[in-house]
Amino acid sequence: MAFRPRQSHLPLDSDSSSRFLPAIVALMVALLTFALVGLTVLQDAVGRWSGQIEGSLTVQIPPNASADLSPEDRDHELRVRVDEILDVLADAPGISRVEELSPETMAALLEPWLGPNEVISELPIPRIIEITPTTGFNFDQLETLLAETAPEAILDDHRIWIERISDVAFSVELALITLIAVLFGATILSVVFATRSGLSIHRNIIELLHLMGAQDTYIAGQFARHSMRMAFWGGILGMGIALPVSGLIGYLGIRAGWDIPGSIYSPWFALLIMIVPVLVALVARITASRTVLKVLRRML
Amino acid sequence: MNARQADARSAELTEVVSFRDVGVRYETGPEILRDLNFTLHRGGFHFMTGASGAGKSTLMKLLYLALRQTRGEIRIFGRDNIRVPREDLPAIRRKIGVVFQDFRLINHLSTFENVALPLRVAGVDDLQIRKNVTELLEWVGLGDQINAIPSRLSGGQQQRVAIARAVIGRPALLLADEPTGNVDDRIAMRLLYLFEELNKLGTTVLIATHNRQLVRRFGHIQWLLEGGTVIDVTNTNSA
Repeated sequence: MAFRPRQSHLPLDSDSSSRFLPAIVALMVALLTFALVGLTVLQDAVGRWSGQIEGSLTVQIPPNASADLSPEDRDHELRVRVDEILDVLADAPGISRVEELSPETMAALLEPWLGPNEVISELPIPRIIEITPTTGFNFDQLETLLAETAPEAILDDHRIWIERISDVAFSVELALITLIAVLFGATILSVVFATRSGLSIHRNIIELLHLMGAQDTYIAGQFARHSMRMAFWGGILGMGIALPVSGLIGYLGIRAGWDIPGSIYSPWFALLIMIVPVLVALVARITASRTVLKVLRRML
Repeated sequence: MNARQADARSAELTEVVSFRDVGVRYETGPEILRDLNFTLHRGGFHFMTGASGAGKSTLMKLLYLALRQTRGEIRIFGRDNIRVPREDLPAIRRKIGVVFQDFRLINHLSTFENVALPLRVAGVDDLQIRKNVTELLEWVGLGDQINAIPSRLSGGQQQRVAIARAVIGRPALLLADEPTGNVDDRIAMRLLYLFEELNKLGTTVLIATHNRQLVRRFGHIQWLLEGGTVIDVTNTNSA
């Protein structure tokens, strides 16, 4: 004798919620994936920028602004002061590298703003010394030392830039994390709505199951499994949309010369993205179960 | 425990249902049922007749815990229906088999799954369910309709599915609201014999019916629901 496979007692698959829930979840998961990719790229970029800036300091030595000096005398005077500072820096503790930027390098850096090399060479351009700190470096001590040797020299640890980058990065990160929270919230609300709609549509069968002696958890389990399945397939669909789109954006970015962070290609990131549909499915399961239990508590 | 206490305890053990001064009204309307005082003992077999609108279905709802009285006390299997914690209700309901007047079959489920429903919710294993349900469906003459969905069955066949579902769990209390309304006399007799067989095994049976001929033929306790209350008419009708 042929038996049909065991069916759910509630025909939830035929509900309208079975059509809209996967679609809503697909949209949410796609947006979640974009947000996670964006967050990862941002964190990586900020980390790299901060690392590059934090890893170096500069000493700026302005030229003597006196109009009495000829350009040659001014250069000579500046050269003497730069050499004195280089000597001081060579003996200072906690410094692994000291490098003066050559006039040619300075001219190349300033060329976009000030024009060709010939013009720049006529201007009183400050000299820049790059310092790479190492263990035992003390900013305040170096500042005091420089103040004694060359009071006009400016020691810059780029703190303002780091703070600004950090502030901007923190704001964007916060916005993305808020977006992720909002998307999870919207998914939860969709599941609650779909579950309540299902409870209303199948009230008669639920009453019957109660009269047959079904526990609330038995009925909640049917809704939970259904919602989990719908959310999971919706999540897979959303990921199926988001990943190729992210890949395409990345490809176009590489072609345009963007620096795509390596963390995007790491197995951990792939795992994080893979977890999204599973996580959303679990959230849907828990939400559906709790919604049903809450509603059934009010029934006899 | 003295002799009087022992007698009271013994009576309590055999009492499946007891109603004391029970009344029911819907919202602010008049009382539909009033001053109900009766006891259903273990192994009892009762017929309940009454005109349409007399309150038979409301009384049934009280018995299968789908409705609460507005006054009085109802004890089912020794438990006060008002005070019983919600989490204990499923266990009590599993001891009650109900044949609804409108059958209340689940349309997307097969005959087999409809009948298996009480066993599924009770967590009985698949092998046992398959054996018991198949056997019972053969017995009620629906062995060839095992995979049919209710909408494909005739009214009489649907009624038999509803009866099979009510008795599959061998309930301690069987409540049937017009269980023979849609079947011919031969099937009606066969179903009544099934109820009697269950009754012999200790099931308390209460059947609400219009079929006075059937009631007379089986000669069990007869109640008449009239004026919102239950009157025992067993001896009146026998005489």
